[in-house]
Amino acid sequence: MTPGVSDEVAESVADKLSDPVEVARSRVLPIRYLSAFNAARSPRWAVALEMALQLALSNVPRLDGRTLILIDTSGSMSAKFGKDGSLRYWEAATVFGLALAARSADADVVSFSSFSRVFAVEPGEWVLPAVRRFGRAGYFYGQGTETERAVREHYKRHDRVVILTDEQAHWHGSRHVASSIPATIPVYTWNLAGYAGGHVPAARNRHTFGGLSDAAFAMIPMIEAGEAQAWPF
Amino acid sequence: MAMGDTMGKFNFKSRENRHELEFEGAPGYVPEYRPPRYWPPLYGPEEVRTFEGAPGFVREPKLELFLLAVSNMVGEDTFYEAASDRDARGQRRGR
Repeated sequence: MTPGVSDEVAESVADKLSDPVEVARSRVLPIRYLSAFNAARSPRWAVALEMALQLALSNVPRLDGRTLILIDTSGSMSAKFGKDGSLRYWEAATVFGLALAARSADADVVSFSSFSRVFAVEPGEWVLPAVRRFGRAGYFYGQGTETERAVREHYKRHDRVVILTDEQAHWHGSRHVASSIPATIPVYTWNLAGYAGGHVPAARNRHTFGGLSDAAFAMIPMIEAGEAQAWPF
Repeated sequence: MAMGDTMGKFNFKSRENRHELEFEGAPGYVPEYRPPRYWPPLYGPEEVRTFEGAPGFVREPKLELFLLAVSNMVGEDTFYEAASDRDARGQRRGR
């Protein structure tokens, strides 16, 4: 029970949160449901917020084959964004990364900073509690951004690679962070911070998109279906 | 270009090599490095670095503007970039 909120009020809020029309109309950024989940002390909100998050992530595609998902947890990703400062970049990256993993036939999720580790995804686990587990279990390995090494060490013949990051990689000695990935394998960079310099050159099978909304995720199946070879500008 | 030229964080040069006393017209004066114009080329060579020193790649201006627009709240500082620099960059790319 949350003090001061009656069951009737809570029920009507929960109804709105699980109504696809209301969620679409509200245009609330998906990660805002994580702030609400983090702020809510009563567990009774968890179901409604997870439903709202899943509805808000309508553009996150279902992916076949094997997907390698790398989440940047370096120092810069711990920076807060937004004036209220309730969210950090790694939280946005993890919401998207774990939502994508949940909708992938077979996904390996890796957290990388100075070092990297596999984050074991539990089948059927909801995204919001999984993000909390990710944070509490401390999937942070120093301040560095060893993107190139994480990609190289964890790539095992996956069908695609998705890197959620601000792209500000540390010096690595390769031409770019995805040099170890065959040119035939698509590498998608999801940029959360919008800095000027990218970590891979624009090329075929090397795509960059991003943002705090999930809108651009729809590009992945489009690109792979061959409907789009370039930005639809 | 050495990282120390642009980033104080990586300024490993010894003091006498920093050329602090050089000025235009002095013997051996080398003009400050100016990055090449952004447009063209569309897919530029490795002429920039990420904020942490890896080879960086210039983006096609529309993509840069898109990424800035979808990840940015105007007037807010970020880890590597002050709000004023960031907003000015957005305005330049928007033109």
